Amino acid sequence: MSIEIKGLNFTYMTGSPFQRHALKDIDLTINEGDFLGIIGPTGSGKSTLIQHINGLIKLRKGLGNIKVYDIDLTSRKADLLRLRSYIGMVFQYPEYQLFDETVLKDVSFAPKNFGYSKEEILANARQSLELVGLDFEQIKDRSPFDLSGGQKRRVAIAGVLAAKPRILVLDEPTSGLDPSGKREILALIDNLRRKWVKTVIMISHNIDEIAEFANRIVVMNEGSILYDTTPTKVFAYSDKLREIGLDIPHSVNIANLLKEKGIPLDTVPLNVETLTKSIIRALGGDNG
Amino acid sequence: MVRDISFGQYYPAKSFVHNMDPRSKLACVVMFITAVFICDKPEHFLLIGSFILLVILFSKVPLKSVLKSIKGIMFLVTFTAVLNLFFYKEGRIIFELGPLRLTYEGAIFSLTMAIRLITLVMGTTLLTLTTTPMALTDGLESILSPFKKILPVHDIAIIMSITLRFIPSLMGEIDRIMMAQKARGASFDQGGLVKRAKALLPVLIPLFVSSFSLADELALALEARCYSATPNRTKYKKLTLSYRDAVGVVACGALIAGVAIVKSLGLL
Repeated sequence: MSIEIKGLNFTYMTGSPFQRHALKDIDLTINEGDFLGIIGPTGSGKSTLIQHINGLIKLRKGLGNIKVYDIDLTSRKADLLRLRSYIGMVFQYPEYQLFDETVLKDVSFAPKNFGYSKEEILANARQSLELVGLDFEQIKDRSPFDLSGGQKRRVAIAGVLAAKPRILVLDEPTSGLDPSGKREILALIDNLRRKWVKTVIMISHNIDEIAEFANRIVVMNEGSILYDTTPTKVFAYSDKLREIGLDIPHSVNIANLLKEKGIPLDTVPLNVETLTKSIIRALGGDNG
Repeated sequence: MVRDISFGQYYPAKSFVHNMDPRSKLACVVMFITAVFICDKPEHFLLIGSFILLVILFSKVPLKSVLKSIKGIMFLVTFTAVLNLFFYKEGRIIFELGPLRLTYEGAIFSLTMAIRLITLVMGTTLLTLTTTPMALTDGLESILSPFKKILPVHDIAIIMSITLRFIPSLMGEIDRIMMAQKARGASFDQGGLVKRAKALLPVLIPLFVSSFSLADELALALEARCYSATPNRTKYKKLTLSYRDAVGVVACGALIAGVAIVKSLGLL
């Protein structure tokens, strides 16, 4: 177990006309090794939930408990710096967090704050820049503001990875990217889970990109957890998902339509390849 | 959290005061300020106070929202009150210790000043609580329109409304950047003044970068729509006066008269 959330409630701007109940009785346990996808329409409380995990929103008394490894966030003396060194947060449009003169300095910001040694900082910066697919020697002395959009995002992600977090949280990491940029970032995240971090939590309003990689999916709507299940099982609720405004992957849609026409497939195809293969199987063809 | 600041933020409601024309509301605020400055004894403020309560009642804004605005200036009020208390040298002495001297007149004076500040802020907050920033700039533009020949009135108004429009956006931006840097282990509330100022750099630099690109994009969007402030532009929503405006202005006039009479006759 790496994160345990119990009975979490949160209200924005309590007592004003803008009051909004953002989270209602959230219970969620995230295990080490999970690739957890959190999906939900805009305003469903996804971002608010992950900001709680990192102590960016303070827990209010009596409104729930959160435990991250051995750190109890309910306690007044919770060590926030240690907590944040455990959890790497990649926010939406992370390139807006770049500020320093050179890429190397910017990437070193987090490990420096967490008190890593000089050698460790340099080694981590080099490794994380290489992990995101950049040439360390070539990029380290450039200004982050001179880079292209895609490079900026990679540098920003490297700036989070350089602290070597155990848990990586990503909030819509693909927003504003073109399809090939999206695929690259998703492949990067998948690779990170194998090599660099233990647990990945990824937020998206797009099931397509999460279903392929996640081993567990949490669907949120209006501040509550609607479903907590696996990517293949979540599409049993296709109608409800569509009702709350979430898109179903085309491959799943085709499978559903085929089933209606009397051709049931043996798997829930999360991408075009598995769809093609299972159609061939269903038609009795050779599946080489 | 920055986004929790609601100082003078528009309070949406349907009420007598909300429906008044922004121009007459601006006039009312000027008259109200005049009345406040006529008062020079704590007793006089009974009239002002009851007037404010009456306006709050008619505006359907909860008393709490109005009082919240005072919370922000309480430090300033106490600070000036304490200073006034000891720098007023004349009058009957209540208490004396070395160079410090507390007089009866000084106490009255500092109390008056404190109440004056509080009522001023309450009055002006009621304006911003009941008027949208857009309506406010529209009203100001309309009031200044006689000076069109010598002042770029419309430009001033559009600059004002763009400024007001972007305050919440910038607040949100600050919030977002601060969170991102905090998640990277930055702390903004530790160490001495220099260390704290330095800690703000990772927030200020991205903020500047994004504000400039935002301004650039906005200018581009305005140009793409052939926006130009110079010709006579018409309005989609025209400001119109109603009986409410007459009532409001007359009430404020009565307040000035009332305060002046009370003061000159020494009734209170």
